[in-house]
Amino acid sequence: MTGKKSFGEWLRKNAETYLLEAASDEMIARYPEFCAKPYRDKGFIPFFWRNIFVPIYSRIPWSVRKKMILLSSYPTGERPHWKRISY
Amino acid sequence: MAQNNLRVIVVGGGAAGISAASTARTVNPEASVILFTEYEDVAYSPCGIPFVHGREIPDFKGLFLQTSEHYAEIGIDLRFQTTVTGIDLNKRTVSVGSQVFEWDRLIIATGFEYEKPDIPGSDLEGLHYVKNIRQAMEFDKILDQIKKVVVMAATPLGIEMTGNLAHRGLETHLVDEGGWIMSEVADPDIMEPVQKSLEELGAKIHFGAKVIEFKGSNGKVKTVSTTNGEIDCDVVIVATHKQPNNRLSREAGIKIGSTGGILVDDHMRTSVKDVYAAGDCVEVIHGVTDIPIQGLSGSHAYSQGRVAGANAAGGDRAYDPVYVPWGMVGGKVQIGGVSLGETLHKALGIPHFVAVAQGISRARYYPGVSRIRVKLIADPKTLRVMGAQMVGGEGIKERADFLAFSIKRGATLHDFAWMENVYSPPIGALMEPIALAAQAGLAELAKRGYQPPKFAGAE
Repeated sequence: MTGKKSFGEWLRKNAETYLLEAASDEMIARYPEFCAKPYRDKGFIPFFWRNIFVPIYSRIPWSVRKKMILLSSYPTGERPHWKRISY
Repeated sequence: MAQNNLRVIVVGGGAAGISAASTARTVNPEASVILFTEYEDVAYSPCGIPFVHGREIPDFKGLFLQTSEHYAEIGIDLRFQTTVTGIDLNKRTVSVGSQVFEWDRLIIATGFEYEKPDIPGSDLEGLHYVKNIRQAMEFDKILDQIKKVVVMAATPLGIEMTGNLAHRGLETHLVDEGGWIMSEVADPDIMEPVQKSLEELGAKIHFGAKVIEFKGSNGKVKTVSTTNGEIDCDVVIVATHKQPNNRLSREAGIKIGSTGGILVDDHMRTSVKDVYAAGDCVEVIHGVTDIPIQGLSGSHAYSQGRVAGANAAGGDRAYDPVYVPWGMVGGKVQIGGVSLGETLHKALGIPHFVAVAQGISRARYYPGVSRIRVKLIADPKTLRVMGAQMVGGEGIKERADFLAFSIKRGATLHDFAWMENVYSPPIGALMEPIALAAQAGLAELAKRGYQPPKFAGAE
């Protein structure tokens, strides 16, 4: 009932899923006593995101990554105005 | 200047919709305000539903904040059980079946929908979604007659339902794909006491298990089939992700962002002139990362509704980027935080430094004292704190609010390490756990050779 999704939504959902999965694996390695083995989907699509997207993303500096995220969030460049809070 | 005879239509009667309608009338008492809701009620606290099921709260009556008569008295025309079927932006109308209503300002507050499991058996009777209070009242009667419940997904709602149903004495199974509770939001070291507490209440937790089918007989769910085996049940609570409910907005041509939420600016204006939106159907800017996010708390929805209502009625109010203080009870333990935790900093790849310590909530000798674990996540260069997570027996909500306020104003580990704090044996320990975490972080950095900056004005 939420309607057809755009490419940007598809990209963000998948990127979030697999980046979070990779971060979870790091946390499991750090805190093994608090964690169980998570479920992981198998197949070509998860393979692509895990083995190609995530390693490439992790090599990009955060300042560039942030620009990429914002670019994919507003592909036409029309970002609504929000007050900047900086101290 | 307030416009006379302004026609404001609000679509949705949740926290955002009702606060938008009320504020519009307050800002412009001459405005006509119609609010459409597909449900039977407005102005109740859906967040309280799990606690009625858990018998922590005696009945549903206490969850209602206002009567419908109150809204009529303040001039809001509430249309219950009325589904808006279309929005025409050119004609500036909304349709309710064959009826058409004109507006000068439109406020969309259509809220969220749960992600429906796309697996066999998802149409069986006995799958329950926690949202509508009337359905919750009926479901509560069913809970009196059953023994076994499966809660699908260890989301915040899933945790609250698991704890409450176990507290009620039902055999409660929590099934989740992750490696720990609330793994998409919180860190494992923070959530471990929650898991223990839920297990002490009798809940059975199945990690790393994906639900692949609901099996039933006579049209009713009887078994949940997972990748790790089958679990018999009488009902299933589906506590999956909340998605923005934006079918109407998409069809109308209002711009939607990458989160699936409606794009709005800091005045809650959408991409279309005179159309505003607020609550779970919109995306807003995260104060630390500057990235759009969606799906926050009822208090965020309420505040956004107030801003949308004020501006729609002719006012001029802005909504700040969000720092997302959050808190909840999992089992018998309080958890909370601000902004992102360690896991999400890792996922996004934001450079960060983690400062952790354990303190106590009251004087160590005072009855009721409990441990509080505080984790601060800071920028390794500036030492500005970017996020926090906490777990303890009490005082988590107040610390989350304080941290959100401080982080918004640029507080660093130095600020927290040297903060003043209340010391009073029944309510506060000599050493504030937040300060202890910041001090531990600075001590760790000192070991690594970090030189703290001189204080402003120091010689």
